[in-house]
Amino acid sequence: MLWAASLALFAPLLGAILNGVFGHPFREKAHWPAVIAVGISMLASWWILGRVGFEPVVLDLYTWIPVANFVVPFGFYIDSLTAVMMGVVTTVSFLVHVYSIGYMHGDPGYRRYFAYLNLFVFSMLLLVLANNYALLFVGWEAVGLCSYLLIGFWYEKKSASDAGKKAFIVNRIGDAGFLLGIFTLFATFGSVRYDTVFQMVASNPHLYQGALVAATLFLFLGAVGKSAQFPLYVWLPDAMEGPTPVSALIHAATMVTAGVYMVARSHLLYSEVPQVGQLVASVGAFTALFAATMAMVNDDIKRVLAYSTISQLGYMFVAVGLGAYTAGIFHLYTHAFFKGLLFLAAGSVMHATHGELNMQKMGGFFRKMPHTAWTFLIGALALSGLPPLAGFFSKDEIIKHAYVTGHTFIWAVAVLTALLTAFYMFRLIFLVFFGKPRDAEIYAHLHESPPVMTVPLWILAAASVGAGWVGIGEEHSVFHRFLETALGEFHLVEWTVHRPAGVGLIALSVGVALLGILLAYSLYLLRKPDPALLARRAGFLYTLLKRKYYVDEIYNLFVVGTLRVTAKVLFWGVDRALVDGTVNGTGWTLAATGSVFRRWSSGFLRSYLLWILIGANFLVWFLLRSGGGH
Amino acid sequence: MNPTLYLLLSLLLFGLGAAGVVLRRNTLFMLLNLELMMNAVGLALVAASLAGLLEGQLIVLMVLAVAAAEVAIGIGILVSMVRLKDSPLVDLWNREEP
Amino acid sequence: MNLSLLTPEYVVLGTAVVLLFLAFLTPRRAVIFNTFTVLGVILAMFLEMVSLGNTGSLGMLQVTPLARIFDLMFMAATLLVVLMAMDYFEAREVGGEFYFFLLMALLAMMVLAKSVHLVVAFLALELLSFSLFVLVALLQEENAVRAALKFFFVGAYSSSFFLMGMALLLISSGSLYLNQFLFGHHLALTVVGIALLLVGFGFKLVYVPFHLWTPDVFRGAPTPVVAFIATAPKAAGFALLLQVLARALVPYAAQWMPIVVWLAGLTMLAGNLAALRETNVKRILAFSTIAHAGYLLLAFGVNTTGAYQALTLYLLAYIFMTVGAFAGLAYLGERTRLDNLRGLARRDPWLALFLSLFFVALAGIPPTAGFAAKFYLFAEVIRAGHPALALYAFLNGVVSAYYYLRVPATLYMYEASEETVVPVSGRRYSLLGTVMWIAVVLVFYLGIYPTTFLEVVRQVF
Repeated sequence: MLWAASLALFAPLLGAILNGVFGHPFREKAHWPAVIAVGISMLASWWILGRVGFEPVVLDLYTWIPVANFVVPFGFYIDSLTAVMMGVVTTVSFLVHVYSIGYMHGDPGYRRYFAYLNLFVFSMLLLVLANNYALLFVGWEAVGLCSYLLIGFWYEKKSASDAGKKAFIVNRIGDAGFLLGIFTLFATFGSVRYDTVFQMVASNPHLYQGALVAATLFLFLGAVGKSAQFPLYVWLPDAMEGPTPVSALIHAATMVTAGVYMVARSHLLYSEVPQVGQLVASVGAFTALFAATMAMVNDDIKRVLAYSTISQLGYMFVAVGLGAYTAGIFHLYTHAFFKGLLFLAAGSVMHATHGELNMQKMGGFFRKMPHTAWTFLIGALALSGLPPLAGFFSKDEIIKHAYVTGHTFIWAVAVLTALLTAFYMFRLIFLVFFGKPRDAEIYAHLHESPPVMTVPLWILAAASVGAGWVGIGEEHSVFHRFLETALGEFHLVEWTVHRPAGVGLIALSVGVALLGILLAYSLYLLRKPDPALLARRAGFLYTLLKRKYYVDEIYNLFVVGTLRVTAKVLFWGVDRALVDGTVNGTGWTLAATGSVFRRWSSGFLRSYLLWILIGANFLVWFLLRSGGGH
Repeated sequence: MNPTLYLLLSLLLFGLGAAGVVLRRNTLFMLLNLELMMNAVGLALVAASLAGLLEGQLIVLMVLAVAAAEVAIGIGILVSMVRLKDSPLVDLWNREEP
Repeated sequence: MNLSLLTPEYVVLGTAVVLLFLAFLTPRRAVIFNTFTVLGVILAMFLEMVSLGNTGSLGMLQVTPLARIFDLMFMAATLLVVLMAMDYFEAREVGGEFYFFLLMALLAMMVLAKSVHLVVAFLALELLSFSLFVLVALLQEENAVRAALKFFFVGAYSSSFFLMGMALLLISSGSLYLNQFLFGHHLALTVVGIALLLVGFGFKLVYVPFHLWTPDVFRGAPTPVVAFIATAPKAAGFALLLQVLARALVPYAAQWMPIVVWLAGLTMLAGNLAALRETNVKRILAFSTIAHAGYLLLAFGVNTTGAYQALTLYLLAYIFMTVGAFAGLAYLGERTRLDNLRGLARRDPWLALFLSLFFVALAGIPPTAGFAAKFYLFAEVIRAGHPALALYAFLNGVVSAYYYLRVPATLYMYEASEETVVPVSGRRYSLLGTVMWIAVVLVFYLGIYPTTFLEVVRQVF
């Protein structure tokens, strides 16, 4: 187990080093070390998936930080949750790596790209495998760094480097919360190890109630940043400036789900404080609806998918917030496949249109790129939640759970979001793949992508269809029983309400999905009623959605504006005058003294001998003075 | 016999030698002054045996051997030095390239 | 008397003597000498490890497990230097005598670590110094002779002081055995003796103001010889200082501890500050050696067992970091100015990476041995009740990061110019590469698992 975990973890790091440091011999072949490394990692993860037992395996490789009683081991915590996450991360990563061979072909930063991508896989696995919160935080920061590097991959493009910066800064807000959470845990339990913390909570849950509320809230703030929930979601749509495979891997399938993973990993803490869980679920539900409304009017193919990701992450938080941890992880798992697929297919479209993102310039692509279109369609159906595709099982389980536990309002929001999801996905499909071509020139140059890209698409499409089947039967399903060892019983939290759920509920969710598709069909294919006319009628509402609720503007005005003024004051007043002055002064003094010391060794031999004589006399004098003599 | 006087004499000789090494410019004389220092210590050691420490007399022999070896190596270095610069003056060798 | 205790010494001595004969028979067959030396040292190391528990007293020599651990350190350093020398001297006229003197120096250090009598220690110290003088002068080039001249005079001058100190201690205490306390009947005489002994140690351990020769000798001597001078004799010097100060002169700890603290503080400051404006990498390493000597002296400044254990770990870490850095420099021949390193990363990425790793380690950045060594040493200084001293040393470390990291920065961040060394291709530099691999593995091993070695040290102290 230790070897498999180490192999899975360090193979990508080795790949990153090979490409990053010694990459010169690889150049055009930079994908080989990268793909092989992730392939090894994937196989090792599968092996672990097959072997993981009932009890979590906690391995300490060695003590990383031993300062007084703050002891942070470098070690692994392997249970079924870890195994599922590893399987998802490495499998999607592997497919994205393969796909990138075609997508990034000929890019001047080819080698750099694969080095970053491998580094990301390493960081993500570190996050997943860690056996304590401090190490988790290291992985958490490292994936953030990789994300920053990859968003700004085409750094010569200003929007790209700005987007990278934005992601970095917004995430820091969340990370500050996360760090506070870790400190709270350490202050309360005297340890940051999972096993110690969980054991202490389980042994006496009521003792730590207050600290747990604080710690879980702080940790959730970190999750809000990383998993792009309201109000810190603003970085994710901009993150689409990065290469599309990166969006698929980092900003859809893996990194953004780290927050959900963290909450699920800490489920023993969150179960003790249901009021925090309620907040988590409410934030999730609100974000789900909020992001879905923005996805409805956006014309940028990748941004629609980005808002959709935010919305689906909202679903996951609804699940984990209401105590249905397995359902949340189940949705994370299916979502990784179909959202990864959608992004890669969108990338295939961009590849064919030479980077065009505006859906209003597309149309009728189905005929020219059938593989892309079919796989995209499968992904969209899965996302919309139509049976028997993967999304249906996972999403329906969350919606049902909200209903069963009596959270009617959250349930209603979730159902409404499902309607909107189907609508915006099929709006996208109809605008891109059906109807008449709206830009003749783009249409003329259209071509299907090479097999190195379409094969991963089809593999992911197959997964999008079949991945949900392991969850049939809900709490009696394979998936649930597997995760039960890590996440406990299905209903950890004893909700006061327990409403029976009938077939009507399933019919309703399938019904709203079909309704959404139908609406999109009539609006964007039949043009009855004409969407432009509708937009004019809706007036303010449409503008509000189109301008994304002016959130960026509000943030700019208040937060960034205030910060800027403060920063200016700090910069001129404190930094320039005080810090720079001191630092430069110190530096100058040190350097000047350094010159004196350096010239002391002048090369003049007799001065050396003289200094020995002086030194000898000094030593004799000093020692005699300080205690000899008598 | 009082060893103190011998000890003082030996310290005096040692000091003369130590000053001489620093003050002389000719490497040969610097070597000679080094010898003077060594032999001053030898005198101190012999004087110690006056106080009943016979060990000192043995150590003197070893010190003499060491001093001889030191001169041998010193002369060797001086020879290769004179071969390169054609002068025994030490200050010709001060310059140090960065 | 159990003479088998000294088997490793016999092997080293035997190898050296046979080598001398070989050198007469086949004067210019470097490969034979080298291989023979390597085998001899490895055999001695093996015997040393086998007889780690075999301890006892031989009168003026005492074989302890700690001495054996120091022996292994010396032999490891010697082995790496021998491997380095093969590639470095390939084109030059260096015969068996080089290896002979190297082995003599090794033998001297091994005796030094075991000597419990000051006269034996003095003889070993002189044997070591004389061997080093010859090694420096061996190439007969102008730079080397210049370095040898300075080295010789400074060394001989300060060892005269050492000898005088020894004589005074003999007179005042009547004995020179280091395994018992040296109680002086005459305190003033004893104290002057200690002061003069400290002058002799000052030359060997390069502390202020006896450190001045270091940059000149490092600059002028052949790189493998410098790698040797910078490492093993330092460890030997500290091994002897342990015997002298921490054992024989413990009754006078109140007298020597304050001065040692001052020396340590001044030495690290002098080394670190002088290196800031230095432009030659070999001279930077010379000042770095001085700075490290300052940190190491701290252990004597606080005079606790824990600190001495940390000192041993520090010495081991220091040996591998420094030998590794010099192995990297050996690739560059005599062109070791910073300008010669500009943009080398593009021409020889492996060399640049290794060099950078060693300098990062010397700067004390985790997870390298340099960090672990500093961490444990400073922690012990704090534990001994001197947090201010530890803070001062730590700040020194911060300053040192500037000049250490200048080397990786020069390697990676600049474009190559006409000054940049062109790495020699075509010639096989396999042994230099081996040395760097060994050093880098050990530097990281000690950085990540320092406790394994520390456990061993704790058992023998």
